[in-house]
Amino acid sequence: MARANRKVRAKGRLARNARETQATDYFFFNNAVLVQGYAMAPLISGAINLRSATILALAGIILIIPIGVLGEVLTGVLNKHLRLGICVFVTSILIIPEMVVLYRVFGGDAIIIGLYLPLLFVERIITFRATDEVREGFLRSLNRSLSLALGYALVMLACGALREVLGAGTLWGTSLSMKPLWPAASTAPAGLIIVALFAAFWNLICRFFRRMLFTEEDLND
Amino acid sequence: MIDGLFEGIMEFAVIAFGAATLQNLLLTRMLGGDHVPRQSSLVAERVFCISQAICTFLSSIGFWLVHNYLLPQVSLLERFGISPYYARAYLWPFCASLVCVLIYFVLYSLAQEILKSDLSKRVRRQLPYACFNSFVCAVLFRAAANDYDLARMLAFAVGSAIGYYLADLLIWEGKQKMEKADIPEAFRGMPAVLLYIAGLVMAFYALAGRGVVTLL
Repeated sequence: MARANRKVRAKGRLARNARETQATDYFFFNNAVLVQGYAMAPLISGAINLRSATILALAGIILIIPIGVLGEVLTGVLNKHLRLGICVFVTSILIIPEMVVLYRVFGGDAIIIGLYLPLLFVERIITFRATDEVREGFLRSLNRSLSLALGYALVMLACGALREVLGAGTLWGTSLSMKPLWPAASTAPAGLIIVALFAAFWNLICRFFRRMLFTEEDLND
Repeated sequence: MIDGLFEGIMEFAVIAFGAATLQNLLLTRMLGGDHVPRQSSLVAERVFCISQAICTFLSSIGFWLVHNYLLPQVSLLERFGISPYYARAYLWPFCASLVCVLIYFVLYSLAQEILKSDLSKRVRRQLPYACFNSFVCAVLFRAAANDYDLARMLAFAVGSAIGYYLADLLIWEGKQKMEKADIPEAFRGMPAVLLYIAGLVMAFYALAGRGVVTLL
């Protein structure tokens, strides 16, 4: 009887961990771009090659992490509206030196991105934490921001690389000795199709791991 | 004088029409596309689009004033050897954030005081996303990049807002039909919506005269 009770308690702990993991994982199960649909504009219209994707990924990481932590620090201190206003204002200031440095380092590649780089300051992936009312602690908030930022960067880089290989037969400007398979890969419709296929593939992998997590609980019986 | 007025109205209409169709920011560039996965009901969509249209219109006026009267006084970045044109462009996010934050607080207070309780709740729930999104700021930045005067900027803002509303409705209707369709599990949700939007965008590309065949 005691052994059966221990098994039931262990199964309950595992189920709670699996559910909690799914709810709090922002890199894989709740990926910012492919699952939650954030940052569509820079991904589809800005990340047309690996260099542009790298610039947008770096710019996003530098903004997402500090603003996410700022949102957590201000929760409980200020109301939602003031928090949102301050977060947007701080992002618009942070992005100025960031743009200056990126334009200096990457030059023409950063200019090609156009308005999508300055528009990052108002993307929901950066400002969403400001409207969240729940305090989760500094470390959890930092973990969430890091996961979101890395998830965003990974998708951005993967899409940019794929579009450059398909559209120009190059990677980071270096020829891969292959013909461009899809010259229109840098256009918006092609970007939408590529991101849709990525999202479908991501869905498949998430479902596979979800089934695997719950299958382990059944094996513990 | 009447000829001049007529010409002005025609130019306003042409810019607005172009902004709504050929340069539709949602369909051709996915600006404001963060909202698409979060569409909940038709009423909520209408409230969101109308709130966003009002924000865009008011932000255009505020941004034009800041960009043309306040920004030329600021020469901070030029001291670092940055050209005046780029110096102003670097400050666009800062100016847009000032204008949008001010308009957000004004509209929130007005919604609370003037509107009936149910509508007021709906509007206040959507206002943060309607005021602070890439669509609103893209309208401001594009008009500033093209050096529009106030009338052209307002025409662009009005046309873009109407175009966003129509595109949002199209996407909403498509999503409703997709919910009833038998779609493979992996493509349900975001992937199917993105593929549907890709089809819409290709139709707009054809309307704008860009080659569609080379896309395939």
